[in-house]
Amino acid sequence: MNLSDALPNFKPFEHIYVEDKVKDLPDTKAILANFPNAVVIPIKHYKDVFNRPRQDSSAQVGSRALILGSNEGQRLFKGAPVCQDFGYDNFMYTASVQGCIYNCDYCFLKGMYATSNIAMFVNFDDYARDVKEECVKGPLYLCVSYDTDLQGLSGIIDYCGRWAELAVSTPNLTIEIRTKAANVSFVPNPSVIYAFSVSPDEMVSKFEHGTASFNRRVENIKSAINAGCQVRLCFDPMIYTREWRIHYSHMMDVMLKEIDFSKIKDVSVGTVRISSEYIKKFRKAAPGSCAVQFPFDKEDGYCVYPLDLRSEMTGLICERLKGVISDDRIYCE
Amino acid sequence: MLYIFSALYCELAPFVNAFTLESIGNGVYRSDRCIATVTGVGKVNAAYSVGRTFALFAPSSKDIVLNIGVAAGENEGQTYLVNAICDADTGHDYYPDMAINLGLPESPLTSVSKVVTSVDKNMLYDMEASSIYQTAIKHVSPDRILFVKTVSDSDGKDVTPDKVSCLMESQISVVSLLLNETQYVDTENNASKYYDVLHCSEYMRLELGQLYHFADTLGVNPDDILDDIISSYIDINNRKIGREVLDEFKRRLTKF
Repeated sequence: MNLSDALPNFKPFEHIYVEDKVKDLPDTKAILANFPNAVVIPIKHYKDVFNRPRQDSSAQVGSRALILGSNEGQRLFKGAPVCQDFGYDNFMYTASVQGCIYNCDYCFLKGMYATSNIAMFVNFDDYARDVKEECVKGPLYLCVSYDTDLQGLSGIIDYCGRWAELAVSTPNLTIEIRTKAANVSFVPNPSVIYAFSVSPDEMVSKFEHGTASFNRRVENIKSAINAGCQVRLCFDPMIYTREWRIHYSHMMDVMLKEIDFSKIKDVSVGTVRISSEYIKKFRKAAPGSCAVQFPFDKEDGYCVYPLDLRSEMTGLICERLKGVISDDRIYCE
Repeated sequence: MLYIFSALYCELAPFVNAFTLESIGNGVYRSDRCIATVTGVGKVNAAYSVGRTFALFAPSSKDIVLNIGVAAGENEGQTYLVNAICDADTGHDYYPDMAINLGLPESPLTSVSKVVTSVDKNMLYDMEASSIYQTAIKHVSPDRILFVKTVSDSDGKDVTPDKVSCLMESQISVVSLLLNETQYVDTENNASKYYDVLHCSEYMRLELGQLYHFADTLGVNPDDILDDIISSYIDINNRKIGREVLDEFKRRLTKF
């Protein structure tokens, strides 16, 4: 897949920072070849750029830089409590890329990272080794597209394909590749779950900047099902607006018409939740977005919609799913 | 506000004249949108001057900091936007964000403590940038700090004040562009008109401001809702009733 197919609205990187120790690696060269007009700036360590103090991530969005480096630190992390574990005991995530080419107003990355720049680690073999070691201990459920959208970056480097290959060849490993990308490539295998975030077009255009339209996502889902993939649908996060009922109802009309839910592995349903610690940052980054300006309740360190609103919103989806998918395959917040 | 720092007056003079900056003493010049400071040569002088200027004028996070001047390098007369700064004494590197496009070619720069007598290819040399970055970053974000350097020489020779001023004149358009970047409008807090009506405490003011803004983001007119709620009361004569109004405002905004 070429870059313009994978990222139709993507403004190519104009600046690429490259760690000295990875500059001669084949992946580095292949990535740089995608951006012949970029200014390449040598650096000693990716954190010298990625973790600089006082960065204004919203000011960087329009001129995102790519940082190529090697992650020598921790590469596997336990899943956060607010994440649905889908019944797996050993639920972990990994980040071969930190930062996302998309710009969703509610995305936890805005709080987690001080930058809108993207750090891409080209020491994939080290990640693979860590995962294999973890899988020796027992079954591992690993989210590989957690701190980024790997499918969205597949025009730059096909990490999705590499993770899928690893999952196919490693006993005990199940991976989840979550995406909002326009063009998605698939590896049909029981160990690879493709998780599609689904939102009505009104929410996509207002809050999920740069991501694929709803119709495009529906097409991707159908393609994945037809290819025989394990498919998860994530109606999560649902966002409150004045017309949320109309938009989500219409979305479900289309989904129920277009998608064969008997072939869907499972569904997750949830509403926006943002760490209380980071809410000020989110509101500063997206001052005009009702997705983050909502007067949230605070529960266990997270900003959430009031319980009755949460129930009403998730209820709308769950109600429509009755009869088309069994309750035990619906994970609701 | 645009803060300009240059080591020498001859580097700053073209901008002082072009933008009619007024001297306020101690090498500081200002207009309503720009404060320009002659720092003196070297990292200690530069750090002191930036710190002193910021202590006097208290920059906001939206302000822009520009270090503009001459540097040693290969292509005499060529102007660059600096994308990486290495402090030759400490070995530390600094990376301003390249968020503002000035249409200039880019170059890394090394900040040294002594005048250089020879230069490496694709490298600029100055004596202040690393300390200006280190001091400025305590006040503004790296996308608001820019280093624009014009090559004056490659060996420290034949650099006269007139030559420097002549080189810097070509950068008046850069300063003009950055002055436009600093124009922004602070949004008025329209919720403030309800503070007295609802007998708001400080906490209630914050909450009202947030709800008012949320209504804006939803695309509803907060005044219509608040005025409707307020009109249902005969008299709002204490904070407790003001709180009731605020709670009803929140309820209506979250019940579409």
